[in-house]
Amino acid sequence: MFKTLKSKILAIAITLLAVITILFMVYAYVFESKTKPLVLDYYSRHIEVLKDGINNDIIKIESNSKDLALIGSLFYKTDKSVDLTKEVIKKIFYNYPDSLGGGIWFEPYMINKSQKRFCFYAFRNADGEVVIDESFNSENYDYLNQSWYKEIFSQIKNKGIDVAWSLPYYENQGSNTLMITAGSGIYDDRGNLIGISTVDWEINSIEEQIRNMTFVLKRVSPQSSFSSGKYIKNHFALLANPQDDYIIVTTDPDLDSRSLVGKELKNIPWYNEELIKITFMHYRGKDYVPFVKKFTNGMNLIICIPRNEMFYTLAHALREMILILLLFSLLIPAFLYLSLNKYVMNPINILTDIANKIGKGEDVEIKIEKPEEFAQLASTYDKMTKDIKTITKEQAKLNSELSIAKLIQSSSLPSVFPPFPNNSEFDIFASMEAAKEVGGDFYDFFFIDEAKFMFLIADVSGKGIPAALFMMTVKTLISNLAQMDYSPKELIEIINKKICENNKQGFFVTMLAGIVDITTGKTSFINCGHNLPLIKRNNGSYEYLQLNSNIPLGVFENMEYEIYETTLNSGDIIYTYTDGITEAINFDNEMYGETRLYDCINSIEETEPDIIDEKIRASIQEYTESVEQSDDITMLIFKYNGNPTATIFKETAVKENYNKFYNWIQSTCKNLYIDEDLVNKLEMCGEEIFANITFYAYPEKNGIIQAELKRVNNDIIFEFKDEGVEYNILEKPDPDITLPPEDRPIGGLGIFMIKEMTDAIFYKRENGKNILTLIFRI
Amino acid sequence: MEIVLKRFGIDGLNVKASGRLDLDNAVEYGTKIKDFIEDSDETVTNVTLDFSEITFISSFGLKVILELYKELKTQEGVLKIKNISEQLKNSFKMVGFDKFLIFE
Repeated sequence: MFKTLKSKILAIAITLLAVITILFMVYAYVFESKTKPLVLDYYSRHIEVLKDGINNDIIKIESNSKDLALIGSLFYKTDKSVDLTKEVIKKIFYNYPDSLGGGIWFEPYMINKSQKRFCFYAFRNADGEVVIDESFNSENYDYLNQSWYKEIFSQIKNKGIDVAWSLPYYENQGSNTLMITAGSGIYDDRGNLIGISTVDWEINSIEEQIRNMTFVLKRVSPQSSFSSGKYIKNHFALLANPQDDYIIVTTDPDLDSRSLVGKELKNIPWYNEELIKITFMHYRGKDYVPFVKKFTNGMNLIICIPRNEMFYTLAHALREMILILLLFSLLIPAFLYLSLNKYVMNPINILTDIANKIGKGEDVEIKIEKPEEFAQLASTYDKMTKDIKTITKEQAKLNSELSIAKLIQSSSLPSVFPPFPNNSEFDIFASMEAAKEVGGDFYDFFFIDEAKFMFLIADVSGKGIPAALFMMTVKTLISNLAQMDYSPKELIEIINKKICENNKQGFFVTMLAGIVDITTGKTSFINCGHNLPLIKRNNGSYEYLQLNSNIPLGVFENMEYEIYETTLNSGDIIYTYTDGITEAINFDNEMYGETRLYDCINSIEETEPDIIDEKIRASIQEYTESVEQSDDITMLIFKYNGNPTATIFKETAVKENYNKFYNWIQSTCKNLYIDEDLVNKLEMCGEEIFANITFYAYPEKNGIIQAELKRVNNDIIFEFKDEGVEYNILEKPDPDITLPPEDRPIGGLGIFMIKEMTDAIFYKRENGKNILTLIFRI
Repeated sequence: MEIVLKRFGIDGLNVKASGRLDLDNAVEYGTKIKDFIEDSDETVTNVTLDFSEITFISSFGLKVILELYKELKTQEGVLKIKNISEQLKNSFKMVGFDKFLIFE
């Protein structure tokens, strides 16, 4: 899959990317989980500040309320100076600008027995001045029946608390603002509750504060280098009094705050008491983070901030980081790929091109400057190329020297066949197929004298030029020494001695030689540690000639060699070879072997040495197929034809030539090694036919008699031809040899004898010739 | 061909020849014997052929021997062959001459 360098580097890039992504995920997770509490804390503190402001207002209102109650008490206890009290009240409100207004309210007939209601009320007019509203003392305004009065009064009276808060309400005296009033009790000396003080708190302003509450988060972490300001927009709040279970105000845009004022908290759909404990709530398809703040008077402020807006900056930061990561994801492989191409693939491609060119034999200069490693590789490559060229040249030189050596070696072996066309006594064929290296096989044949013919096949141990040189020496030595008048035994011993003298390298030579007297067939075989030859005798099958093996030549100087003497008959064939044949191997590393050779040669019907050679080679080739030849394959085949001298007699058929004729028969029989008995028969038959032709074939003028005597396999064939009158001896009736001698005719005996002595007689008349063939089986 | 003819006894003739009794010599051999018999003063009826030095006999030789035998037979004579080799004797046997010739 990742076979190329490119794909491998790409795989590394992708792995790297995956690692970076995982690392980022981890970082982002850690970052987020660390940053979130910080953000929450920030908001919490921000809201705390808001809460503190409101709480301060509450404390001040409550404090004012208590002050006013004290003033009311003083007014009641002292001389009841109305003007002074008015001034003090004005002063108090003047110092407290956040309050809309407030006053001191007495129970019926408490100050004046004739006046049911008595109160002071100050408020801030449109110009911002604090004025006393006298209208509240009028009969028209029954403060005693106002809800805020009743609520506060009853709370103080029942609970005995310092400050009580009314339910929120809309002021219906014209301003129509949402108010909530705090009040304290006014007591007489005996501790009786004689009235209350009130301070009005305008809730609108709180609502406003909450609405306009801003959260500016400039930095979420020192790691993020961006800045962003974001106003939280969709937050909402609830101001309520959970103790007394009423809603003061809510900024939830989906709720009608006005109608909910003073109602029970269950009207707020998202409110529950658990809010203080939870980290977020789900409302209207969105997540909100609730912040619950308690005021000193038991009121609660609950602010809900949308989670997504709250963590927007964080999410934004993460998003930006993802973008950067994506950029990296693209850039890293791209960068890797591009630099790979530039610094690795390009030089590799260049080197590949160069290698191809070098392979084609072109001269190329290799030059890569960058990167350094490739520059170094290129220069190494360059050096290698030059070295290869040098080596190749040397190799070529060596090869040519080797092939010259091979050529000299093979051309030193006789290679013209037939080598002695005038000698029909024998046929010889030899061949050497050299292995790739120069080997040590050789063969040779030559006449020692007029009658003695020597042939030999040999294998020098070792290979290569030294073996070839040694082989040449040995070959020359043998052919020179053979010309001397030595007996075979002497010859081989002196050859051995001379080889030993010239053998410092420790070579040795296995050799099989034959010295044949071609006129008689008398043969001396010499086997010096060589493969046994195959011999076909008397038209039988080829058999391994069990020669006693002497030790190879060149081993010990003074060795005695045993010579095997035999006489070859006409038609005998000697097949000699070197171990390159029997040790030729096939694909299974199995050798050709002697058995296969034996079977092969016995399957060959032809007796011509060159055809035997060809067929055995074909058999070896078929066996080894294309396995490279490891050793020389050499063979020499000698076929003895016998001495064919004057196998044909051709003379005028006259009685005077009879003497010549029978001399011819005798010498031919001798050459063919025909035994005496048969010679006698041949003579008798020959004479009869000679006489027949002489006396009867040519009645008018003398003609030619031609006779041929030859040995074909196990038959002696005696053939006569004459151009005389047609005469078939086979048609002559046989004489009756049982007749008494007196009655027997003198003639006809000869033909009868011929028929008796021969194994077969053939007669034919062809082209005006009588052809009579006598066959004698040996 | 050398032929030595020697008389012995009253009517005997010993013929010793050397060489081949063939086309070349057989006729001469036979003729010489016949001439000798005819020319001799005494009747020759007992002829012995010494074959010790005869190396070969062909049908021509056999023919001559047969003629000689017939000739002697008419005179109640005897033809004997002595010192013959087995090989030559076979030639006589081949043509059935062994049935009437006397070999010694």
